[in-house]
Amino acid sequence: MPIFRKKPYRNRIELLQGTLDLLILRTLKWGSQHGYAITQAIRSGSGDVLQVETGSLYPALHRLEKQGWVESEWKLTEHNQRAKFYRLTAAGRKQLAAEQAQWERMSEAIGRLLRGGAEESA
Amino acid sequence: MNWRNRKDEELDEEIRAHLAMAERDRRERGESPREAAANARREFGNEALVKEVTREMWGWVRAERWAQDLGYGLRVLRAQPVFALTAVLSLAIGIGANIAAFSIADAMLLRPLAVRDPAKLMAVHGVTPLDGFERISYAGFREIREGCRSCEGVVAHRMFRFSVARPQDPVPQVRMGMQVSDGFFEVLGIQPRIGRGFSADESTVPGRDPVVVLSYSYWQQEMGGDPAVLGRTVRLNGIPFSVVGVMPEEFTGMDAFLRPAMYVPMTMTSRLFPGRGAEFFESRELRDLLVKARLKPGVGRERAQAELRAVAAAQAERDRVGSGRRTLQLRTELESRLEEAPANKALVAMLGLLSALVLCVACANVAGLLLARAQARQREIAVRLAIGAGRARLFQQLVAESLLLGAAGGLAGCGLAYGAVRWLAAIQIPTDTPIVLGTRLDERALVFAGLVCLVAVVAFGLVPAWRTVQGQPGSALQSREVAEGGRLRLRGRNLLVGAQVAVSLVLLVISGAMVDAFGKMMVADPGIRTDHVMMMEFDPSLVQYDGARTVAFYRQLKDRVAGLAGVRGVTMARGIPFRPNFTDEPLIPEGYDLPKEQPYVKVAGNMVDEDYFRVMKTPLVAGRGIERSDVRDGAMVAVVNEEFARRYWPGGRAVGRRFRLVESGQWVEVVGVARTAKYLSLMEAPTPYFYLSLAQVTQNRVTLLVETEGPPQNITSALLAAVRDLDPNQPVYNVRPLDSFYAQGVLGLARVVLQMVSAMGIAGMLLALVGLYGLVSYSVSRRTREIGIRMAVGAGRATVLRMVLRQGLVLGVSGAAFGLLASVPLFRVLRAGFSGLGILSAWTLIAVPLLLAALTAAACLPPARRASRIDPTQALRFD
Repeated sequence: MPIFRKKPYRNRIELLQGTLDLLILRTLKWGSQHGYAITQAIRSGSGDVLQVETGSLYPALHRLEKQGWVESEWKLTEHNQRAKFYRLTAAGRKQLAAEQAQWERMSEAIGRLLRGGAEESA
Repeated sequence: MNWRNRKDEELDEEIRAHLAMAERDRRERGESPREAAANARREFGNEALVKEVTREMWGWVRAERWAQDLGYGLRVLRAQPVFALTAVLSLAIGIGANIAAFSIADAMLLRPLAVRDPAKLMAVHGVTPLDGFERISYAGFREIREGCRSCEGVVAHRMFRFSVARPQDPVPQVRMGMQVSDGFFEVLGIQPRIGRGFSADESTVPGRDPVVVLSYSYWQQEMGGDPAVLGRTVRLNGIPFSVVGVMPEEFTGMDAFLRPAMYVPMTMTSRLFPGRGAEFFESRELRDLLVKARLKPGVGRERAQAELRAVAAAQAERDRVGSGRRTLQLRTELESRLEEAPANKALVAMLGLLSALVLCVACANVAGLLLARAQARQREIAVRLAIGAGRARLFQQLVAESLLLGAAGGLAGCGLAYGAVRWLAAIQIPTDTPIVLGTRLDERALVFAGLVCLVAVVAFGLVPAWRTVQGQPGSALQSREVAEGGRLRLRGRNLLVGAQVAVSLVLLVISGAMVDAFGKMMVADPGIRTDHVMMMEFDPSLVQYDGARTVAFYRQLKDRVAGLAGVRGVTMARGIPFRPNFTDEPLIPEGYDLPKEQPYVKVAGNMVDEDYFRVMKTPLVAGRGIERSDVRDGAMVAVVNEEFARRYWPGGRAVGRRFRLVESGQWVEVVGVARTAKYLSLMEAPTPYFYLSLAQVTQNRVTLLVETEGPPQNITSALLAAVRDLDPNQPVYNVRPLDSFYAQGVLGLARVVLQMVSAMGIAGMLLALVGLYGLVSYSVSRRTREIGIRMAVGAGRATVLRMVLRQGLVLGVSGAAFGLLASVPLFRVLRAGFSGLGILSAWTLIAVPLLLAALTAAACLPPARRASRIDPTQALRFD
């Protein structure tokens, strides 16, 4: 008897959550964007390395909106397509700064660790 | 849900926009429209799933999950009907007992009056060193009304007894009615169901307007609920009154027990009781009114109380009694009920305690069942944890199951309580003027039931649920028995069952002591005979007899009845014991040192004729009884009881001493001493009492007591015929054999309490036994393998039987021992509030634990026998 519905996307969101949030907030730093543009921006910005799944993107956007880090409004794109645009709030800006700082500290630490490890094994 | 739909549509559109933009990009890159659409969709992924996961972020999932868990819980419980039934039944008993206890408490003490904003309506009583609940004279009531500026309104009322005849009635009935002051319905805020209340002039101009408002029940029962009743006439004490209104069903008067049949303006006193009008309105000594004051909104009761103190001081100064002797006290309805009837308070507290204990045992039972199930479900839980279910989610799901159990138990408990309440509501004290215990299951009881359910769920559900989800998936999956966790859990259950046995022993000891006390009371000698006596009450003043005519009527009546066939003796008395229709009389025993601040003592008394002591078999221990020669012109004489003599004239002879009646100032000489009997309640301590000669006082209301040779009811028609021959208009009431009055009126309520208390004791014990049985069976099933090994290496069936029995007995006996230890101090506390309880008898202290031990053994026997029949080869092949 299936007791719980399976939620395969959930785990992946949890895995990616911190990073994806950071990427989204960063993308919105220079102005409001809709969901599709955000995926495109992350993909091209990372040289096609990072591909954001819609199954992660939209839950993340709605969660960020609930947390008050982004807000949304319906606007027309340059091609006259009605779309939901997300924009950073003041709290989102602060959150972005904090997450970015933390990310940089962490990647530096991991990088040092990896380099150190390489020296030892050499 | 509207908000949710809008969000859903918005999400749909957001996704449509995404797909449209992706498609457009692809077309611009040169894909065909068909390819572009298909690729955009493929790249997007599972649209439904994306929506679902996104929706979860909105926070609505919580409610959906609860619904899901409740549904799953329902399926689980349906799959295990024995478990579910046992749990629900246990809870039903526990919760039902509490609801029933609540509705009794509600009927006796808690239910507010059915008036507007009852919290603002306060009772005003006089307080003297002797009496905390003195009633107030009409003049005093007017002064309170003038003096209380913080009161929105002040009203007065009193119950009275009157004869009532509808036009078609040949003989009037006797009923209780209520006389009300002006503004009564307005200040209480009661809208008549039909018609109107009394107009301002009707209730202020004395004696002018014979108008009456009927109670709902009188209107329904005697008038057939006729809507055209307004303007019709009923005769009250022979005077035609016209009906102007009917009260709503929920308003049954100002007392929990006494319900008036109708309401008349107080201004009609002089017409209803000729000759009493002037006295009633002017006398300051005739204190007969109950006064209620409604506080103005926003006014604290301290201010009103201060104003009342000023009124009381002015009254005391004018009456030239020492200041501070008599003050006025403001009390809420609940306060006055609690203070006025401490016995009721004790009874309610006792029932509350017992029912709470029953609930404890019931909850322990269900908790034990759940813990056992937790063990059995360890595998299921472990698998779920292993495949990634969150512990919080599992916990929530188990709590949902507990909630279901609690709700089902609560519903069944309401059913049980409803039965009990129906049965209680059927109890009436048998008089023609109804005294009812208005138990009912209303929305207040239901709210209470809901609260009890919640408490129960927390008590039985949370710990087992928490324990259930604590298991380590790894170990549970490896082996069938989890050694360490199992031992720990078993210890928890042992404690639980031991506590259950202990609590049920406390329950049994308390209810045993009460059964003991009430049993003694029921066989106690009330001090009067109750067999072969027919009683019948009269009040000729209701048909406007004057004093001389009344005396003549009674003399003729007595002569006539004495001449009837089958009559052994006839006596007349003002009242009979156990009917509070005579009040305490203030008097001063000659030569007795009154305590300070106390100008007199109050003693209950009766007025009897010369045959009373013989017919009622109340023995005289000294002097003589009342005699035929003790008539109006002679010196006032009295017979006192032994307690009176002992208390006021200790060590001396009472015969020949005197006491003074404070109200009339008359001296009364004691001519005899009678054996002390019971007068108001069978549980009372010895109480002083005195008898005056009926011929020396005004005779209005009199009870005729007829001693018969055969069954007393056989003489009823002959008695009624004798009365009708003398005066066909004479109202007669409470015609019934004394023993039936005694059995229902005196023992009835005591019997109800007794039955409730024993029911709770037995329920608690049965629940504890079920718990013990469950635990022992469970541990046998867990130990199948161990027992198999023991038998394989040579243990005999008897050894196994003994081993399992010992386990249960150790629990039962140690629980009982703890219970016994706990019940002694607890009992001492209870007795402080419930004086009739007596002391713990050896019977209770020895019989109850023995009984419990025997039952414990009986409960362990089936699982022990099952264990002893285990086949080692089968048991070891397990798994």
